Amino acid sequence: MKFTVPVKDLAQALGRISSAIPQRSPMPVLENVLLQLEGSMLSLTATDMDITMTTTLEVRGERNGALLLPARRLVDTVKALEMGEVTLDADLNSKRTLLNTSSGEYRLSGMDAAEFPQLAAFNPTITITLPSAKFGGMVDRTSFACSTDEFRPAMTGVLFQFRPNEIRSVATDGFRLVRVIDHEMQPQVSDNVDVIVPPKALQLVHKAFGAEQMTLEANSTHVRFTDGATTITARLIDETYPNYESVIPQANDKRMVIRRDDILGSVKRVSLYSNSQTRQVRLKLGGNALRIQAEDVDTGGEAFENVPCDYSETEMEIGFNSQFMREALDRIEADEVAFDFSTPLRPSLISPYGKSNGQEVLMLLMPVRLNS
Amino acid sequence: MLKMSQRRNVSEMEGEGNGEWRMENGGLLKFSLLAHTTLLFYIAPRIFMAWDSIIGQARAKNLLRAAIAGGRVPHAYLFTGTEGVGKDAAAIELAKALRCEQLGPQGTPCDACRNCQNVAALQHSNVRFVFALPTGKGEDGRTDSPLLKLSDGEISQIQEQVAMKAVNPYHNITIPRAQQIKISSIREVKRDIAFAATEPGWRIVIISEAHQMGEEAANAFLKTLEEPSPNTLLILTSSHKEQLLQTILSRCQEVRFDLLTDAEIAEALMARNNIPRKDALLLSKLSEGSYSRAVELTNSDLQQLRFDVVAFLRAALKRSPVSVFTEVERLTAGNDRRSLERTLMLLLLWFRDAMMLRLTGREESVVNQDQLKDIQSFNSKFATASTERLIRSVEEAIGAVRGNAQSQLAFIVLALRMESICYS
Repeated sequence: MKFTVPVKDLAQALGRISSAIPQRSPMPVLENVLLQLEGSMLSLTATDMDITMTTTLEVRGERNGALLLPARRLVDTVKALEMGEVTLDADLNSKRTLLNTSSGEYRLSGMDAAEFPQLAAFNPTITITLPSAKFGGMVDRTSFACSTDEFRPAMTGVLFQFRPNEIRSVATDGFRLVRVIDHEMQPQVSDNVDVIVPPKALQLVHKAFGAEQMTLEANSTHVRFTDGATTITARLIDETYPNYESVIPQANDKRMVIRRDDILGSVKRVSLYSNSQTRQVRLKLGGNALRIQAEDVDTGGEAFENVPCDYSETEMEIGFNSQFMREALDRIEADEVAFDFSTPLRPSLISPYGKSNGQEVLMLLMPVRLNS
Repeated sequence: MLKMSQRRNVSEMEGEGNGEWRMENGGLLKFSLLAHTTLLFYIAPRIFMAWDSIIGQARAKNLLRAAIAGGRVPHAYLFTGTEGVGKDAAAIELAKALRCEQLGPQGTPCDACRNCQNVAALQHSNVRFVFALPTGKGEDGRTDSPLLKLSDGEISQIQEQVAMKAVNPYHNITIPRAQQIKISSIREVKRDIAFAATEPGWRIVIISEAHQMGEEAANAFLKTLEEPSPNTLLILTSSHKEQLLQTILSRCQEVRFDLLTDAEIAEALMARNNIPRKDALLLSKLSEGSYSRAVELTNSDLQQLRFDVVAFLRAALKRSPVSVFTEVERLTAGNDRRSLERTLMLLLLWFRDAMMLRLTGREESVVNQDQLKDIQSFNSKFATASTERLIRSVEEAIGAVRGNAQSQLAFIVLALRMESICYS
């Protein structure tokens, strides 16, 4: 195998797939990058057995072939090379590989490409083209709420529901739930398709993809995202997602509308005085005003802020985990947000107030019980 | 195993071929380049295929093969039995049979397809092999993956041990500081099972020496045992069944692995390790029914030890305290309990020879053939001494050493007892 390529291109391509290389693995073969050259197309593949990333780039190919090279060494070397061109020349029998630049030569030994785990054939049942930015926004708005509890594996992923005229994404950890419905991305699937995608794969997609459009393909076991030259294939979580619709309250009749920046800023400041374990803040509502307060009995700290809001229902007090509040409010893109309360012990809903951009965002937050 | 770390040698070898050398006798010299070290493995010519690669254990093998052939594989097996009798080997063989693309009659894997080879190499994406690991510096058992915080050196040790297990399923994985199967390893298993299988078909998780799971890990694992996923087989192996939680025991189908007979071990040593017959017989007698213990003994300085033991006996019977002390000091110099036990086992074997010779008069019943003369002269000189009592006193000494007694004291007491038995 032999090719020449600008250092910058190779470094970029390696950078794209490097997040899929496992840091530590009992399988030494996974610490390698698979290089495959056919004509002028070089493809680089890395996998941790859960997620496989492949990217292709144009090179000046001289001799076709495939080889495994130690990932860390290759990435570090290429990253540190001076700008210019690099020629990679590998003897496929001895696996000895030479990297030649105008000023030097680097020798490394590879492994037989056949040792790399082979991906089972992937036959997608659905193929959808999506605007990357919009999909990325959807991912960003949901994946933070995933559970990390292996005892409820379904909830460790983001549920995507593809319907003929909408896409829904849902994440929950049992304390909060996010549901985003996008009416503009029309998947044009004939059947309903539900998949649970591990958040790590979604983060990689978010990080590695830059093009305007991306393709999503899925079957019952795998999902594949493609963005021009790069594909990310991930194993799905093969579990039944809990019936999340049943926990979303339909009759929360106490609505508070408030400027997002105001409440977010107040929560950030006041929560500094909350108990470091519970992170609890107390919301007192009544007469078009919101009072956010926190106290930490352990350190004797106490704080409150008054924020003007639109609330004309009966007075009430409700407690929340301030971190969950911040994480939810941070991800709502709107000037004003609406809180829909029922009673202090029942779930509350947060949603953007005013015009939507084709996405319907709903965040559910479980309150915490107040002591007095 | 040879270990080479000089890069120069490595590059010379690479010129020879594809990561392995075929030896004249059909054996294979395999080398693998790891991040820090280069490993060389000698693989004896493979004449043992499929289930034949497991020594003895006819009952267990038949049971497993019948389950495969009849499609009656339970969701969880527990293989119990002494260390080194083939529990892990059988688990790997079972995984192979379930994954094999061309399964022969009676659940015999073909050993040739990609699945069989990957399972055997412990590199199959659907087969997970779990074992005790050390804990890294500042590791958070809740969030960190089991290998994340380990040093590069530890990682290559682990990779090395896995590679050795792949070459020889009877190899006992030993990693320094690895006392527990970590809860993070169990979490990883749970996560893995929740994911769609990488490849369609059976998914197998082998938990080697499952009693090494800490209480927390064991409880976390219970949930997985209780809610089996379709097409997923959990195989637990354990040489200390009594240390497993009752709740785990009750959720697995137990398969007992018997102690191997001396003949089975001797035969395996001759065929697999190229050990001459007389040595193989001696080793098998010392191995207490465990093949891997027998192999372990081949690496020790057994010959020298055998003569040291006789020297110790001689000193005791000479009634010379000085020479007893010298011999005891020599024998207990290493002060490693395992080898002290071994020393006493050799003495035990020697008395057994004396007893056999006395009772049957048949010279071929003697294991220490090269010491036949010594044994005969002992028998004639101490014809009245009870070999049974001698054997019992050695057994007591073994018990004392196992019970963490001061080793020199145990040997001196033994010497005095032997003396009084012989001269009573």
